[in-house]
Amino acid sequence: MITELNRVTVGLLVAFLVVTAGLVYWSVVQADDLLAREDNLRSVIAEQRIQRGAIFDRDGERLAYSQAQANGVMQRIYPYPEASGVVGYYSFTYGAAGLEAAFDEELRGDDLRDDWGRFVDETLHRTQQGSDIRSTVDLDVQRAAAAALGDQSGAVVVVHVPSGRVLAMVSQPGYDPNLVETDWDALTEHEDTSPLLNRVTLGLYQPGGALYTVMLAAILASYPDLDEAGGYVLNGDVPDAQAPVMVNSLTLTCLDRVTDRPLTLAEAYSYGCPGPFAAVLGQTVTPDRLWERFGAVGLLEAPALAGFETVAGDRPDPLTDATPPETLIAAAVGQSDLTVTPLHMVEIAAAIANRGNAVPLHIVDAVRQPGAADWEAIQIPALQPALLREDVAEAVRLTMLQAAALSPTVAQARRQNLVLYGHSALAFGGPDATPYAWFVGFVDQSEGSAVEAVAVVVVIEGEPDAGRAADVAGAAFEAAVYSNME
Amino acid sequence: MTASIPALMTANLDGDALRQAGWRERLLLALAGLFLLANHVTLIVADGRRWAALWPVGVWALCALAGHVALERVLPGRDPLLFPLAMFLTGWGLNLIARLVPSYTGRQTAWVVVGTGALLAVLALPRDLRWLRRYRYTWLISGLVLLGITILVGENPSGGGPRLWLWLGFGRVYYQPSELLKILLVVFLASYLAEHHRYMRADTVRLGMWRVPSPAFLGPVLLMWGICVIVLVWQRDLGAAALFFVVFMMMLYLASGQAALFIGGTILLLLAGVVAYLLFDVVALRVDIWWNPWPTADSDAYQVVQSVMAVAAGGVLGEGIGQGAPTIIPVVHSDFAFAAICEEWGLLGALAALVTIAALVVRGMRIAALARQPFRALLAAGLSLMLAFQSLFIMGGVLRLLPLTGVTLPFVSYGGSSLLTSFVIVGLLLVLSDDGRGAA
Repeated sequence: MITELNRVTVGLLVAFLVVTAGLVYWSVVQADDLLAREDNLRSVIAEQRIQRGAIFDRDGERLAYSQAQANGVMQRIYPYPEASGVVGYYSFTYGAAGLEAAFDEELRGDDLRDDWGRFVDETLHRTQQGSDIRSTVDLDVQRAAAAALGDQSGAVVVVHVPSGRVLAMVSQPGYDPNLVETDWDALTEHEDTSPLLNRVTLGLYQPGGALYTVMLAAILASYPDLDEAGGYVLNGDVPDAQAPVMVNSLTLTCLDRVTDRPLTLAEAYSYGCPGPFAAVLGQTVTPDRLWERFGAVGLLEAPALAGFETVAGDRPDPLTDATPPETLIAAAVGQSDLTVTPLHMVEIAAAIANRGNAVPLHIVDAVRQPGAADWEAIQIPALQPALLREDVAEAVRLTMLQAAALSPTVAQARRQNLVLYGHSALAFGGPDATPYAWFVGFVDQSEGSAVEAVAVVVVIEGEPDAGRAADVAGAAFEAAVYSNME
Repeated sequence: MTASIPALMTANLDGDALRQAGWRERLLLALAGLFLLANHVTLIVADGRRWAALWPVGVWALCALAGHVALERVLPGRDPLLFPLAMFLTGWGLNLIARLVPSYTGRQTAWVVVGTGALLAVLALPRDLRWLRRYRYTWLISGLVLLGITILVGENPSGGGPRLWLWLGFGRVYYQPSELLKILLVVFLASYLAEHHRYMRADTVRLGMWRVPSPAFLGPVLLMWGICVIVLVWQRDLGAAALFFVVFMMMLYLASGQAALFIGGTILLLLAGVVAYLLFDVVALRVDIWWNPWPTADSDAYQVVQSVMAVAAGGVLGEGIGQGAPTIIPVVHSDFAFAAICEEWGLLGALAALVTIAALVVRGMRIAALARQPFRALLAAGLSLMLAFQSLFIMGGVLRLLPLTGVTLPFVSYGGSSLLTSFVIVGLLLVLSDDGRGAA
């Protein structure tokens, strides 16, 4: 029996060796491939334990932070759901949006460790900690703008000039980032109207009359020297300025009720009359020049906002002499295929306030590493290309001041003794010509030669009264100016 | 007699070694205790548990002490490795249960006490083991009857699933009779084959090119074994059925010396596998999952895929106790205890467990080789083979070397029945190891 016992024993040892080989195979040879699999819950668990940095507003109010639960999973908490347009959300299941997505690397702390550091931390089971970020957004302005918009759908964006700090970014309908996971199906049911769509950066709107500001600038830019021609251009009577414009079965009229008299270009702009702008093509501005102007003010490309996803508007074929006249007219009054986001428009408004120079839009200005006491400023690119010639910007600026004085619609944005520059407009979008109320403007607080202003763009969906948008803008101006003054 | 045995098995116990046996056992038990203590302390610190959670270590130490004292007194010539190796794995199992399902710690610790008690009881019984040998049919049939009762009134403590357990009447204690049958079948086979093995070797018939023992000898044993397997298959305890099949083949080979039987048995096993694959959905599913788990990684093959993923996550050094995520694997504490060891103690820890089990098995086979009577040799070999194949089946299943069979990792997995059986096996091996050399 001994021989048999020996054989069986040797056989068993061989079997144990095979198991050893299997162990080495899975734990060493195949380990990396296996752990990279999507159904490896360990990566989810590791993700859930990351101490994500907090997001602060400019006054140190916490807009988002992580809190450890009993099971070690970090829960993300958003004290102010009305800031969802800025902060976005962070979900283990559905990913991230807003600042949570734009500054994911810093918030997770991925930028703080190299491969060796990561290896050491993982071996010692150290919790991964991310940096805090400080937003330029002012919670007071954000809440005031959201409250003014009420339960209407639309967008408000408030930018400080010349710094380019975004003070508020409201997108409505909003959502509660705390409940994104539970509400996900409802939130994503309709892609086009989803509350998750950030209407400031991604909402593509028909510009309609809001494009008149760009048109006005284009007309003015066609004169080489406005010091000479400016007064004449703006204040000379325009024939048939009040005449309605027919475009795509729509009849466009002046925004404000105007007595039947000849209007200057400045007045026509102020009252939101389409006539002079529909008629201008082929006279003072050629179609390809206009197309160039659209490009020069940034309407044809996606604006840049640190890490945020942005879009270029729907871009029709370039305008040329061969473009059919009705398409040219539609393009001139903002009813063509060209769509824009509120972010596009606020860039233009800020540039007008800033002597034609673009402002460096940004929404986060400092990062604080875990454990550190001090904030580290983020370098903001100082390069500010000119969107408009300085004299053109100045002429448009003065016309907007005139509009605030003349137009009762624009005047609804006036608050206290703020110096208001603005333009109100309606646009009609979609097959059933849904009205969109626009306001584009700023309040100037410059003292001396240094520019200081707050630019605001408001768009309200389904709102036939452009004054509503101006009123919302007024609330934003008030909050921005007076909360800045403390 | 020992000339051809591998070196590990020939370490003959001379006088000095004998005097050292108790000392060696104490040293090894102390090392095992240190391992258990260190792991428990780490777990408490890592998880922020209360220090009172250390109590299972104390109970384990008392069991180890009681076992050691009793062994010193009753079996001075025993193999000094068996008990410490078994206690080492048992302690590791306690660590694992405390880490994976803290609420089961109390019950598992209680079973360790019961297991130690059973081991001491085996020591207290007559050491010539004639009581086992003589009444082989009685033992086996009572085991089968118990199993039959399970079929009629069995339950599953977890609510659903196969009804493999008997409710023992006090508290919520369950026992799985197929575990007891493991020992009883080995006893029966050892007893029967020991009585007949001389004839089996002499009286053979030609079957084609092979010579096999006459059916007159094989008949009864095939019948009894067949009943066991049929009952187990009936009960859907296919892991145990497969285990019985393999151990039976091995013991038949040991007794008869006929390689033909072994080869024939292997072919039979494969045939049985094919039949089971065609007949039982459970088997078909297990085999399919084993062959290619990836397409169903999120459903049927979830456990197996998560199991190898746990092994991968452990790497060479392991995550450390309480630091990995083995609880992702469903019922990790029983079927996938080995995967949890791989994740938290790494390749090194898994190899330590593997070597411990292999050493236990090799020492058991050595006892068989040194035994003076065929019955004792076959019994020692059979019990060792049970431990060996049970371990190989579940480790192979965890590592996807074999289809998964629902057997436990001896001593380590959660489960009182399995722990009790393993302790009785070690008790019997200890008795067999003191084969008159020390005691005589």
